Amino acid sequence: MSAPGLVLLVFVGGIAVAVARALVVDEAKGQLRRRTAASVERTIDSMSLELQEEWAEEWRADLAKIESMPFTALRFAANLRRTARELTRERELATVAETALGARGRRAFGESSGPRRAIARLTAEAASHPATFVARIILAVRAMRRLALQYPRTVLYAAAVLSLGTAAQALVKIFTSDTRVAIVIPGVLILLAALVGRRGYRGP
Amino acid sequence: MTSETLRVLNTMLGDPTDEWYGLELSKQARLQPGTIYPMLDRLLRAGWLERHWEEIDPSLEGRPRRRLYRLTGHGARCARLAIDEQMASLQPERAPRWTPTPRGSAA
Repeated sequence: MSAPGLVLLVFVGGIAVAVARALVVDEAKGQLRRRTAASVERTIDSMSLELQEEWAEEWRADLAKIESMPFTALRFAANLRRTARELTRERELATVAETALGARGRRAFGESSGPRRAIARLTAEAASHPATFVARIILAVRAMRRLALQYPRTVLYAAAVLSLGTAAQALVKIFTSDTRVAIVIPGVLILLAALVGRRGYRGP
Repeated sequence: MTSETLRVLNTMLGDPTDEWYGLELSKQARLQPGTIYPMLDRLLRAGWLERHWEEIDPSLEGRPRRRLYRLTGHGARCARLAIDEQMASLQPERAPRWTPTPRGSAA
């Protein structure tokens, strides 16, 4: 083959390789984009309706911002799975804490629903879906264990106040058979202990 | 409070009146993409942050609207306090001053 022919062949071959590479890269990018979008949608679907309403649009908007960067988008999608689990767990924990702590829990966790609503919801669930109710009890026990591990001082403090109240009641019962006195004196003691030992909420 | 939360608060305290969207905030605070939302949720529920949807026309802008976060007055005060506390806890304890023993005074 002559020299000009060889140059032409190399030139044409180079263009063909460049075009093929661009096609393959575009195809791979498109595949990654579709997979990422599907993964984010699966994550959103796995959450409760309340959480979906709260986060889905924001996550889709954030994904749209990074979808031209496939690897960042893939990391985003993978991290969102963990995020969804964490948000679900925290909502369950907040519900349990709210039920357990009452008004203080509402202030700390910022939820509008009260313990009565939570109990009513749990009772309704127990009647309609016994399996769900059992699962929720297991979840609640786990959440309380988590709460005790996360805030050992608060749990210890609550236990101390309750013990003090019980001891005071037992002591008062030795001296009087009057039920009102047996309730009022330990009640005042518990209130005093709670006021003296109260720690301010320090934020998340 | 985790170091990630402190990084986010520190970023937002750069200009407490500024508004951020989640992805931008996580990038500025050097967090992994997609990990910031539980933290934002906790800060929102504690009243440290407030949020609202961006007021744009998505068809005109060619992108979806974003949700913007901003520190509340209470949040900014608490965040400063938390960062100051953290900085104070990182200060090395002062070592006891060494004084040379006068020669011949030992035993």
